[in-house]
Amino acid sequence: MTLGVNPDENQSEFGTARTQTPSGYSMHPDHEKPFDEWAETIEHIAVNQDREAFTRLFNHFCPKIKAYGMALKSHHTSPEMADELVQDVMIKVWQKAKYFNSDKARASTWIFAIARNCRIDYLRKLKRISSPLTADDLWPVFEEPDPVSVMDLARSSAQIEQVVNTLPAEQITVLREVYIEGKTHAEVAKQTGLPLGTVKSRLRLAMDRLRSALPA
Amino acid sequence: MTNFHPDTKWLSEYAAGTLSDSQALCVSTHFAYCQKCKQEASELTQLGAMVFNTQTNDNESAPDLLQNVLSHINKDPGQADVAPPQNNSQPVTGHTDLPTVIKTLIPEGTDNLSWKKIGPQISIAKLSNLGDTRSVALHKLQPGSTVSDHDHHGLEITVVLDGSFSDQDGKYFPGDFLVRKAGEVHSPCTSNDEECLCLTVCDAPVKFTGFFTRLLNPLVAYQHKH
Ligand SMILES: [Zn+2]
Repeated sequence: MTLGVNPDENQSEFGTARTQTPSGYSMHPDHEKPFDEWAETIEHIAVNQDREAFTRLFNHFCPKIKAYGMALKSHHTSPEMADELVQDVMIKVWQKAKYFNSDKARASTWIFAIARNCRIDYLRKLKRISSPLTADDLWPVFEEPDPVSVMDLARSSAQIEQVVNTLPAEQITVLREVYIEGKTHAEVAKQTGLPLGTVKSRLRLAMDRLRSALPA
Repeated sequence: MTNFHPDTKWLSEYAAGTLSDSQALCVSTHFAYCQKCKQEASELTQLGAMVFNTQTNDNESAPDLLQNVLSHINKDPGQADVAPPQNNSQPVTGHTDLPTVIKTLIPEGTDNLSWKKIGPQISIAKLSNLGDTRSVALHKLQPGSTVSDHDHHGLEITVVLDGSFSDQDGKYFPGDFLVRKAGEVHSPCTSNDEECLCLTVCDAPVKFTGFFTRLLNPLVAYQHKH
């Protein structure tokens, strides 16, 4: 509903553009768009700067972000680092909420991408690495929406859970190592003894499952 | 016209955030020319988000973290974005139709980089290292250049930014993403009418090595003998 609309305009109009559209905060007919509760919440926060809604969002995603921080296979990993990560990510979610577009992305995809970038930047800080480009420059998350930009495949949590529940354990394990523990394919192959090609093919199979399980 | 793409390994490591900065730069640059790979990387990110979202956790609450975050946003409630710094000091000339991430990396524009001529028809502008040890550079090949056979000593990535060049494997256009491994021999040449600009990232943290640089070493050595 905010396709091609400058996020700044939304903010200056204090949300009128969003709340008056048929798929706005209070209306989400199932046949039109599967309900993503947290997507609605983020859009509501962008419009109303609602701290109560933000608190609910925080309480839902905090344990996931913390687990993501703790799962990183690095000697820099610590509970303190994971706590910092939670704060960095959630402050960014608040600041950038107006860039979120529920027509394009699920809330969990957006927050995962922010957490990924924050974890990269945080590690750089710990390693005292300076670079002319931030993680957000190299892995853009807050791009202006454009008509041809990419869109999430799944829209509801139920759809996603359905896919996860049908994936073989060996695929879940590889996904976890690659995405959550932050290992390269080569590291996964070395540690598991699997050929490099098998790591790639398990990811591919999981990807195919995600694509085929969801309505086009 | 982009025909050479990063494969699933590259795209999933990009989506997972495990590629090094300089390699992520190459993949991100490719996306500016290739919607298909951008879409695939987005889907691979969703795959990661799926696992992120289903992480088992004990749902512990963290009231102190929440308080920290709330007090931070109360101090800075604006949700305001700092406008990107405008670089007005120098007029940006040269190759101007470049991906956003390249423009961010070289706000001064290609003409204002310090180019070093390393052969009759080839120049290099070494860029500052990103968060890893790989060398990042731009190469400029004059129209009508032909360079002798050379082989590679590490993994080298080349992304064509403007113009084109070819070798025995094909012709490469803007956006094409080429990964060369050690032992591969190539003799690239450019077309006769336009300059070719490429981004190159190579493994070896050695000064001035790269896809188009090393190939010149035999040539330079030969010339020095005479
Ligand atoms: Zn591509």
